[in-house]
Amino acid sequence: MNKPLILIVEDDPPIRNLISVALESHDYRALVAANAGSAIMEASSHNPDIMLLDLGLPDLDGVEVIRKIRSWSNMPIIVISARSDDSDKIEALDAGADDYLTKPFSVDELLARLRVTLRRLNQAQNESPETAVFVNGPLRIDYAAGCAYMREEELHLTPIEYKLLCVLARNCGKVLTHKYITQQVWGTAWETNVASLRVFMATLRKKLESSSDTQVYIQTHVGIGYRMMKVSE
Amino acid sequence: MSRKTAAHDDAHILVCLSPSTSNARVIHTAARIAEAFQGTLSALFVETPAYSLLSDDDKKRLRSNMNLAEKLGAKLDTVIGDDVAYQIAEYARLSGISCVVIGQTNTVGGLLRKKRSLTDRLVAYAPDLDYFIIPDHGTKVYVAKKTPEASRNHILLDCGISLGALGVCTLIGFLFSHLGFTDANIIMVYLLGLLAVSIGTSHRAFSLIWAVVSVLTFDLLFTTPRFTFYAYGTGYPVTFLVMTAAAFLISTLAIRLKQNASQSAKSARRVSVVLETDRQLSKAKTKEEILSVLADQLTQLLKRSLVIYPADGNRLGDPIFYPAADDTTPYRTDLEQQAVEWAFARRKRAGATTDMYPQSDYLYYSMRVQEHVYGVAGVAVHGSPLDASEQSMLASVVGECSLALENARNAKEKEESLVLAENERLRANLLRAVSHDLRTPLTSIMGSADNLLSSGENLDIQTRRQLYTDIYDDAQWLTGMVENLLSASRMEDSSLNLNMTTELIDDMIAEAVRHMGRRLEGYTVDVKKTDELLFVKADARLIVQVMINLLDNAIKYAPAGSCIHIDTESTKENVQVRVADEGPGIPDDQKEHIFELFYTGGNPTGDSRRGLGLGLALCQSIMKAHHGAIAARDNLPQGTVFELTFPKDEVNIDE
Repeated sequence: MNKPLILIVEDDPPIRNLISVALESHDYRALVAANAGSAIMEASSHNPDIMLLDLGLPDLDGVEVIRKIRSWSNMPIIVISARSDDSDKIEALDAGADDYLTKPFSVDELLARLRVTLRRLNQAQNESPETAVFVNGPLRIDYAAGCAYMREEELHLTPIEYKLLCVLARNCGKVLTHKYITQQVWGTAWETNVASLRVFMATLRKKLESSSDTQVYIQTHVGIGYRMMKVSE
Repeated sequence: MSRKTAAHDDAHILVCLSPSTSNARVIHTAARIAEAFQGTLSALFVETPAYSLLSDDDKKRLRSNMNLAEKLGAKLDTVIGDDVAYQIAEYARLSGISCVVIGQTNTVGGLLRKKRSLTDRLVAYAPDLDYFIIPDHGTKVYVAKKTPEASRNHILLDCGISLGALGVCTLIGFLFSHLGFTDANIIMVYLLGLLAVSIGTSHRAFSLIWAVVSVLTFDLLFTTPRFTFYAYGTGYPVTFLVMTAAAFLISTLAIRLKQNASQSAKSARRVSVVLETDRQLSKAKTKEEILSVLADQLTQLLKRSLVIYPADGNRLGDPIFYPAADDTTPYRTDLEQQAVEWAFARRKRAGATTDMYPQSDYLYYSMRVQEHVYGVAGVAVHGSPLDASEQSMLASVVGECSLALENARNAKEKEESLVLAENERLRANLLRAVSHDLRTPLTSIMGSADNLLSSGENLDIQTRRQLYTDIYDDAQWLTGMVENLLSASRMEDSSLNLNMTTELIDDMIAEAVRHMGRRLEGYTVDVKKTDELLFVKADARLIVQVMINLLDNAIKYAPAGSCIHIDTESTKENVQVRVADEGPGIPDDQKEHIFELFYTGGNPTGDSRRGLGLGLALCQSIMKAHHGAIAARDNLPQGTVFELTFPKDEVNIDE
């Protein structure tokens, strides 16, 4: 298999250097861009597998870069933010980013995020987009029948729980914001929806995770949203 | 107020208002004088007992004179009293008036006090003042017209009283004459009856008629020959004359007594209203409370609808309505708005019965203290104008409330500046502590990196590894501190505006443990989950920060290999999270101090165990902002338990 090509968009030279050294020493190929303009150019000319995008760029807001890229490409984008405030991450995720990292982050964390994204990428390539069945380890969702199974045992889910599970499964590996999920499930994104979302997510997770072992299917991102993890077989 | 400078600079002119037609000229003159002296102008109306006898035309003229005075920049005032000269003199003394402008015929008719002119007596009361007396040639001399306004019912009642008294007196007279008492006793009974009628009826005509009728009755029934108007005794004509004169005098005195009583009742009521307003205002602290006192007092006093526009900075806020029970007329906002705006902008009266926007239904007063306007208060007029005493009471109450509003604002500003000063002090302390404590880890990072750069290849692997670890650990420490500082600054920026959402306690615990990551290596973390889903209203990021600080604290003190227990418990109203370690514990005398800012447990800090004494203080302020609490107690058999308490949040589920 080819070494995955990662585009690093970061204006701070030491961080850019740090990331590219870390990636190259872990079997990735790194491509670097110091501003939004060259990032878009590199992205279109080299078509990298994953883009690491710093949100604070000198020439253009990172969220704008995401919107531009998303107009023609579905390449996974992981944003890097230096702000402790969550709003810019949420904005980036809603604009189409897949995942986020907050500075300061460790190399381990960065590599873990890249692995998750790559796994999703590989799976997406192997499956046709309109599959009728979703499989994630022992979890199986039969979209046509409207049923979910864990180890071939049917899960007894309420309609809302099933809807939630489908939204997560269709975006497996991606961090979904509260706003996105509530809009998909309820059609609105009110405060009460977000509170209900937490309840349903907690009960859904209990149903998924009590019947399996210690596997984590749904990851909580406090203040941001949820993500379904791709489980290793 | 500091108005005690050179005498010439603060000329204070007083103009006396009256319903007279010539009064307008007096007011204009006074305004010119005030302008010439560059002084302030006050306009005073003395409401005497005769006020109630004024005709509607006179009242209208008086109002227009008041409006004129106000338009020319005068401060309006009304006092209630019997003796006009005395009231003016007193007012002048209390208000620091230097000069009085008065019309010559500016006197309101009164029976027993016409001997000296008003101006003569005024000069006698207040000889130090300057007087400008405006002669009044050719204009109609003002006489109070008596307009009997007593309703038919009233007249009937008075007739009843008069006839009843006549009957009773005559009966007693018969009784006396039967018992053989002298005529003098019977006359005394009639005089007594006259006194009763004078007090009991509303109009003087009744007393006079009663006096004559009683004399005739006496003549008819009790003088020989009886049942004729002819009397034999030579003294009787004198008796009748004296009796009539006495009747006349008694009725006059009785009526004055009555008027004085109602007058003093009125002024006592005004004093008590103002005192009551003051008493209530002293209890009111916020703007809302003050406005509600104002509304209470005015609706109680005037029994009219009220509208208050509180000022919101430099513009008017939304109106608050206090409709009277019987007032169903809708408020015409579009029409009234102009009058309100004008009253607010010009800091004067406007609306009904004034010259500005007289088509309004309401009369508006601006609530001001000197240059600052705190709002506009409007009173429903609906065609029935307020009388002078009501207006003056209204002005007093509005004035008191404006003062209270100013006091409240000043107090708030003072409090804010105190808080600001305290924040400034904390910030300075924090900055000092931070910059001091940053040096140690930075020195270590720089030194280690320097060693590795300059002589890395000469060091053995173990030493090198130690240096790398040191750099990593110190960077980690700095990261933790930056997180705390960021949280602290967020608390300060938005202490009233936290990003509160309904959060699952378990999610936040999991996030904190995940965030600690590698630092928890070597420790066993045991998280006990409850079956119930426990929700709290929280700013998730800040609460996660609290939990990170507690975990951080635990690994700082507990030995490696020990266990950290996290458990949650739900009580009726609260959710509690406990983080327990197996460290050495905290001595009792330090427990109460550990949440203080910059307290570091009396340990020599800065070198081996870094700490600002910031973490726990931050935890406490975050928990307080969440209406919760943090407490430390002993863990058994050893260690410390930190207990977080949150108010429980209920979730309504959208299905």
